[in-house]
Amino acid sequence: MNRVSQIILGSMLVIFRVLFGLFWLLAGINKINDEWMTSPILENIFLQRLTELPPDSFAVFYLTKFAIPFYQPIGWFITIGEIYSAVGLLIGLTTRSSALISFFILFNFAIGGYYDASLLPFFILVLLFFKYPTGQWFGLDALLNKYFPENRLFR
Amino acid sequence: MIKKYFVLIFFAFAFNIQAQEVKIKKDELLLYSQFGEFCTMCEATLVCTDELVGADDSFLDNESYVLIHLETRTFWSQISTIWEFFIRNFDGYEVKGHSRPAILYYSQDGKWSDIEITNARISVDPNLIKMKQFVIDRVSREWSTQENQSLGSCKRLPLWKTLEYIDQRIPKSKKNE
Repeated sequence: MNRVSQIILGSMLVIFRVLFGLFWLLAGINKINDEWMTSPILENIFLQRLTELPPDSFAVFYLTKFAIPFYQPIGWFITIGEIYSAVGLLIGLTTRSSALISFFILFNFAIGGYYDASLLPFFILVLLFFKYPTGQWFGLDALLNKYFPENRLFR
Repeated sequence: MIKKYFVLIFFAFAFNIQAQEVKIKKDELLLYSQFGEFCTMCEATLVCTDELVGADDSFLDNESYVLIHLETRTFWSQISTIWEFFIRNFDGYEVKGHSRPAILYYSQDGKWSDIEITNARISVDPNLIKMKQFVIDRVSREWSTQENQSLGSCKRLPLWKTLEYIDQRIPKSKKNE
């Protein structure tokens, strides 16, 4: 691959990273507004989803045994995780960790019964953000890596 | 001063009740969440008939009706929800409807005469489900023609039980023909 196409693909990846960050930020803000961290709203969402899933599916097992009993810490984790990832991806700070957290949240959405085709582009993107050092190309990671070259968070 | 607080508390309380009412109404809509999102992977089964539907088990075996199976959204329709979710964060750009596949089973006195695969358009404001020749009001459950002639009413059926019933009556291979 020549230098020009590398720059184009790299720039596209950075643009997608910023868009993804913006999307995640809006999702996180919505969750704060909808009181995911302070009310039983997430429990209601899970209970509603239970009625829509095939009774013998893994998602039903996951929801009944894990997600519903621990809905409050899960609400905290998703909300804070989304906002942390959003900021990280938007400004290129701890970019790869942000991508990893995003992957973990998306993966849990999927196995918890909230899967659909719209998750596919997200999965592809977070894997690319994890594989390539986009924070070094455009973001605060480039700056912080100079001061903390041993720290893996800024690589 | 105390009076002011009472007025403030009254308004806060009234606003809270109003917000709850709106939430409950939204929550009750078929395939629609309390957060104003259409459920992409949800399915639903409805039965529409010219008389008020009784709930007994023999109804589907003996009566005349249209049984509607609203399926999950198609692959590309699911992908498009990324945009729907994004745009709904901006005032006035909320997506108010989508299309998804639906299967219609026509019954005459319990005998299934025809099976039709079509597209159902599901919307909020107005809260309607539109299929080729029918319109269903998602709030009043009234069933009518596109020309607003009443045909009867519809009722939501338990999904998994009804899908099992459909599979028993029509093997999957036949349904896909």
